[in-house]
Amino acid sequence: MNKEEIIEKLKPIVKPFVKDETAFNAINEKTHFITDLNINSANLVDIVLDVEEAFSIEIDNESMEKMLDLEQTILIIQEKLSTK
Amino acid sequence: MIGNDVVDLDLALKESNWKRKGFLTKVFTDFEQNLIQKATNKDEMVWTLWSLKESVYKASQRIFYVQGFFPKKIAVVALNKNKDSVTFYDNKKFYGKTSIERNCLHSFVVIKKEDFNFILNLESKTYEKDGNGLPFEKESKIPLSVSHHGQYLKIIGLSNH
Repeated sequence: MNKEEIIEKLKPIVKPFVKDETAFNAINEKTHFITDLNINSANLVDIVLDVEEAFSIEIDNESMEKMLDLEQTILIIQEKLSTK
Repeated sequence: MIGNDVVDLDLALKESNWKRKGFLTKVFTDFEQNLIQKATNKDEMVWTLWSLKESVYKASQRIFYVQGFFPKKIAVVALNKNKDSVTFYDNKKFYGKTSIERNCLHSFVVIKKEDFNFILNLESKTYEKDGNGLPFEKESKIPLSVSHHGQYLKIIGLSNH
């Protein structure tokens, strides 16, 4: 799966946790979940769990640690998909 | 060295579902999951433990600035009936206190127990942030910890002593 496909699949996962529509519409590879989208840290856990479900992958703690922006999240998803 | 975290329990109930599959194991250690299991008010226990982890995360950013999401590496190892607690992160020990008034749950942590005598509760928003985004009081330069959730804002500092 390429970056763009992953981003499209991530958007509906992230949307329910973002109150600022302008920030949501500006989502790109460099977007940071906390500083750009103002997502609270408890909801980061929801995103991790939703990503696991949507991509049928398992995200270990070491990977979760880095899942703070889209760029890292995409890399982690690609890595997990490739080792499935 | 201080850190605090406030949880608006009403909002937490709406925003987060800790009961969903996988949530507890991603966030809490075995010891903490056991505390939740045994608690009569599980919501309160979940957010008490959560707020202690967040407080320690904030306090530890004053020791060395780190970024990352690692709730399980911050481990509450003791919590008594009065909600006094001990939490470890990276071999460092943090003492914590938690209070609950109506739907406002507030935790804060310090590194030395004596520091509990020097906690300042600040009402105003007269703080600024340094280059790392860490807040301090404008005039005294006292480092602060600021937490906002739902209808609650808690700002605490450690007075010079």
